[in-house]
Amino acid sequence: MTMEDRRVKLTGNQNVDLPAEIIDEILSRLPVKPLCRFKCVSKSWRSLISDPDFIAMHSSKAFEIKDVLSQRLKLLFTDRESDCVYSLDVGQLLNHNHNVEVDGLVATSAELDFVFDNLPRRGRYNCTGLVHTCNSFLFFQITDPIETNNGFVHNHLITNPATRELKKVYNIHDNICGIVFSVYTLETSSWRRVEGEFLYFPISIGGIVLNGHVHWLAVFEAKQDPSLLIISFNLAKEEVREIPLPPIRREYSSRLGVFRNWLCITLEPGGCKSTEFWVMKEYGVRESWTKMQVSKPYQELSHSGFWTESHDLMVFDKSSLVMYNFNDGTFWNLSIGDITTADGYFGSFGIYVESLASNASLKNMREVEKIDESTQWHP
Amino acid sequence: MSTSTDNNASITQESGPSAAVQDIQKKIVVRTADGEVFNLKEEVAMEIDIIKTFFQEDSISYETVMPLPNVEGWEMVKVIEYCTKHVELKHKVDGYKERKAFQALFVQNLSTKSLLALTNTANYLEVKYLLDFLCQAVSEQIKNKDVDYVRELFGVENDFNDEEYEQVKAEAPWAHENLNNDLH
Repeated sequence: MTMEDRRVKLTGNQNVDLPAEIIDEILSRLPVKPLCRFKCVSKSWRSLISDPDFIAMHSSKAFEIKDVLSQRLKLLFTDRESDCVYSLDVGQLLNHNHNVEVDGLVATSAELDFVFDNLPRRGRYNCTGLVHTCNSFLFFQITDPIETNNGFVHNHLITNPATRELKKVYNIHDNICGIVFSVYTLETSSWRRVEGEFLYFPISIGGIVLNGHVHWLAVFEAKQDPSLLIISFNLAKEEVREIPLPPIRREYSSRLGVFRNWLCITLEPGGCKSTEFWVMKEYGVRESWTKMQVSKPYQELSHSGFWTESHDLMVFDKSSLVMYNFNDGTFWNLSIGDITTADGYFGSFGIYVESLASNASLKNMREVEKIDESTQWHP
Repeated sequence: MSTSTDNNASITQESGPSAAVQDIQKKIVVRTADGEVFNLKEEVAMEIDIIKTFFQEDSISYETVMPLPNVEGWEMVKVIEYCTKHVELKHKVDGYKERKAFQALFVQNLSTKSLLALTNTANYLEVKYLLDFLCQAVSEQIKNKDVDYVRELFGVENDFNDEEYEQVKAEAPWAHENLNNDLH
């Protein structure tokens, strides 16, 4: 399709040729929904909107232009019953001047019904903890509520919530000991086991992805007095390395997460609330663990993945969304209209940016799942 | 170097101070497709790359009237309006709110078709920040519109037959629903 094919004549008072680059510029600023609709405009528009170069241009606009980013930035979360996935528009927070009226910004959410429409309806599904967002994709696990002979069936899905494309990731069942790392390739829909022996006993479920690595809390099996550490799996090199924890007291249980672009350890001092947590400001460097304070005590604290110049969107105790200013310890609460959660608790959540990217473009992305069948682990 | 051309111009379009003060500042003169002549303050004219290049590259005297055969008079008015404001806000520390208010007013009385024509002009004149703003403004105006509207606006022919159209539509039927309810 040549440039001339895509020139457009403006009718009416002026007969002007609108150059193709201008149409590209206008269309690349649109949200995903109208773009999917405008594929019906004509054959050339359809092939433009599906073109990988255009899709890349469209994606990069979100990171070049603040107004575009604020349109496309969403917080996805499940409610505690975990049978609904909600999408929340957080972009409006980017431009919000918080000091004045607000202690309770109301934002509505939308259910992502299509996720469940693709599975046979058998009562309520359980969308469990593995909601993980990665760029513009959502990776999560849905458990079939009916128990079969093999136990509960877990469906793993990767979806682009903006275009509603859905792809199933097939599971493997393998009985092994210790930790096995397996890499899933979307293109061939197959798992491949990573060679090597990894004598770690995992503590946490669900890997934390950062910097192209996946992380878990674990203990090293072979040691006499096994202490807690972080294991990090490098996706590109398929290697495992250890990362030391900050100096925290043993009696506190800790939870691994991500705070902005840093690994984060939050503390759960058994029953009591905590006002501190640790962030690793330089990846892999033990000395860079820095203690942070919060003025609002927590039992469970997570970073949503969204932050502005002055505030971070935090989730306290899985029940409140808080815009917290770490410079001065002030904060304000977000309330979400229209959520029918019984007790106001969230399941899991993540930030994502809407894009046109399709599952086809995912073929170079690999997802790593840790298999832990260690009912028989060797001390 | 430049002499005042206030005598010659039948129509001058300027926002700014009185005629006496205008004489002191350097002016650049352009003529649009419909014969209208505009006096621009030098600092505003230099925001428009095509004008800047014309005068600076070959050191053309400011007495020359630059022809702009692809630009209509009304478009020039709007371009001057935007660039003047842009220059004014350059020197302000926190002009965010003022810029937003100005931008809202700027597009208020323009039809989407006019916006498109203006976008084309901004591209021709090479004023990048105006072009960016106008592309954004057009996308805002069309994001909740249906397929027919967009075809008419851009003058695009439907080359799908009924069956093909239904097929494409069926790939994302949800995208055609709830057009008025979009909050973003």
